[in-house]
Amino acid sequence: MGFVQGVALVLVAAVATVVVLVRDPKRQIFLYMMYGLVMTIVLAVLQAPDVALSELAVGSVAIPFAVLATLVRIEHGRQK
Amino acid sequence: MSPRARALVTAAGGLALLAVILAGFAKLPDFGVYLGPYGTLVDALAPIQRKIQNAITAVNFDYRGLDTMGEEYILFAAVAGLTLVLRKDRAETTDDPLPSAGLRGSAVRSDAVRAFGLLGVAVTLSFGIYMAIHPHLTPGGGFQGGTITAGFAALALVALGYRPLKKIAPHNRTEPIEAVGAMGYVAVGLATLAAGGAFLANTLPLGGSGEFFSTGTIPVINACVAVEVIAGFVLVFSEFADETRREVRDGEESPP
Repeated sequence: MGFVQGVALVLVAAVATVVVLVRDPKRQIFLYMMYGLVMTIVLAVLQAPDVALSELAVGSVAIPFAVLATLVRIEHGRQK
Repeated sequence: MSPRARALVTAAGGLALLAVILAGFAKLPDFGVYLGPYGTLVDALAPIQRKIQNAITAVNFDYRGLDTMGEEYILFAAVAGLTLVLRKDRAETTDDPLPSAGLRGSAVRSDAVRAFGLLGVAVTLSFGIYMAIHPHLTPGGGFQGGTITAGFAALALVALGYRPLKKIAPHNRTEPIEAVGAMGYVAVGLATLAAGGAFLANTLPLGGSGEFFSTGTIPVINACVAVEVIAGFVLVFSEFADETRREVRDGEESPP
């Protein structure tokens, strides 16, 4: 395992732990976007560029967008 | 069972699981070592058999083309299912005014957000389409490029707002496009059957290695997948955008 790969893997473990430890979904989703980005780096340094690109699109755009929209609806339901 | 006994059982189970996992890790091949025969074979054969640069695409759209067709229909079913659930939910709560979540009001949309959002739309569209149409030459393909391209819808919602997004990508436009993309994959399969090959056999001329129009049916199938994925994800984004819209009552002027 190369140095860059090792650093990337440690980073992804750290960010993933933080995502789990933060309990507020509104903050969590932005950390999850960070996680998506770090995961993209991991896949890129492991020489899987196409998987990295999918992860970039799904992990940092699609999932956060869906979760944010869901949070808006839940918040709205609570206010009533 | 008392909490103490429960904790003991959990600890014992956890330790046993840890032992099994560690034993499994000990026998794993070294980092980055590939032991299967299939990948090496495909790497060696795909450039010769299919004149293709990207062996992964050769597996996805040619050697295992039928599997990818199933994969495409998983996405199709997922999009259809999500759309059905959300629309049914909305139909039951129509008289509720829904929050704008800052996604529609002009007050929260600064010039900077607008400018960077539009720049993002341009970058996403050009890079995504580039990625989507070069599956045989570079890493990427219809699925990856399609997902990236569809990101423009999310950016357009943030930069421009709900109404412009609905104008660019209304449901009566994205739905048929998605269906045509999904259908196209099967149509290619049926066409190869008619041409005398097996279902999804690569019957088109292969062309020269490294050229854009090469590798036979692979770019055609990939184009169908790209269309399906782009339209499907745009549909999903716009469904979620509908979730955050503000209901406008009769005679009430909507905020810009």
